[in-house]
Amino acid sequence: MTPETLEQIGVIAGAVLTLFTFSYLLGDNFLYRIAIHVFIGAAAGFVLLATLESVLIPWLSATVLSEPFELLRLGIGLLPFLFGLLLVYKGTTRLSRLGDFGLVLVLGVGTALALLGAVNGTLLPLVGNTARIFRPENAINGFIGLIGTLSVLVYFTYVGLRRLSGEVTQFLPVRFIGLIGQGFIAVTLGATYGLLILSALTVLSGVLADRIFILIGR
Amino acid sequence: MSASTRPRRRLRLGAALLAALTISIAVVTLLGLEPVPTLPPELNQTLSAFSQLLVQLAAVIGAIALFLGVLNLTRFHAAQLRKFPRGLYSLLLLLTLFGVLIVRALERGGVLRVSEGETLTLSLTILDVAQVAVESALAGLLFFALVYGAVRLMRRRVTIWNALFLTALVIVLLGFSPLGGATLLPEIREWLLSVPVSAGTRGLLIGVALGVVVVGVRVLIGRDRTFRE
Repeated sequence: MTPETLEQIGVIAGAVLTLFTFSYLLGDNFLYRIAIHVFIGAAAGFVLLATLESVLIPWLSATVLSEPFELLRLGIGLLPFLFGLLLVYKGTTRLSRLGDFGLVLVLGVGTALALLGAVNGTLLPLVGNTARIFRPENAINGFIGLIGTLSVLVYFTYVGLRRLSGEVTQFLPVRFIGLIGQGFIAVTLGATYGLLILSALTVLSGVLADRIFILIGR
Repeated sequence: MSASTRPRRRLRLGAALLAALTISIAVVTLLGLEPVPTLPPELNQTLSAFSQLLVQLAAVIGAIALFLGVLNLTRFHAAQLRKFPRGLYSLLLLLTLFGVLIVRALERGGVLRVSEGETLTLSLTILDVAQVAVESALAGLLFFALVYGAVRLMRRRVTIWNALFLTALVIVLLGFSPLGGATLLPEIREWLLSVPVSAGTRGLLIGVALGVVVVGVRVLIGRDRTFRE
């Protein structure tokens, strides 16, 4: 089989699967389910291949199968497999505690990475950005930006006062600033929703042009 | 509730051990990735090398977890094979899964060869047909779902927040459309996206990052409930 023939078969099969997926517009049906199950099978297969080829085989080549033989390297190479094996016990009722040991390393490293990422990658740059937008030549916009950022943060404040009746209420200033924040959140989500609709429309027109119009010969 | 009547929390040895291990691994990784200038350079180098090893180990454990997940998916669908018509879908899923693996193995072994130079064409075609095609069609379907959702929102009770949401949505949509060459709408859209939306997004992202920091610190001081339940 030549690469050209294979490409033609691929285009037709892709278009048929696209039509099967679009049949969901008429309701949940067997054509849609066929497309989804093919998709899940292929996705699982490619994820498994990527995991094997990019992570597991290089790790085993660098540790367990590496020459000359070293006991320490072999031990380090097999260590994640021991932890991974412990993860199997998470699914059992009696030995699920053992599975927690498999999670220790992932949780510890994940916590450190998440903390560093949140502080260095999000908090510091965004706080810096918020401070920088407040310039004299752009004072009104800077002020709106500052009020927006702070009021959104205040909106997620859950500190309140417990009254004698037992009812919990927020401080009036916090409630008022929170309302402004709620407005900014509504505008942000509305605009994001609009951008998402435009992105989906772009994808839809691309799919129609690349898959369906080819099938009907346009 | 006074301190005397509050139920005492039982300390379990296993949970304490797990928490201690997690905290020490997290602290070593933190010190290795963000070296402290006051520590001796040799210690910083050792910590850095050790934290790199820990990150690699975590990546391999993640890969093994993913492998186990695919095994579980296979086991579940193999058990469904006897049922009709669900078994038919499961059969299709398993055929695609093993088809992808077998084709890749044959290509790597040099048995199956439909290639242009070094590119493995057949497995890439399967990826394009079975994954990219359905994935992009699903993303296209999202358009209908989103528009339907917006229409439903308009039918429900009108509140000030709904109105703000829909106004921003309509401004963004109309701002991108070439309505008789009007320049006002694109200008309003530009301002909306660069000032209030950007401020709101920044507030939300800072809130999320603060949440991550709080959860991370709770793990570091052993207050997280992961191992207690």
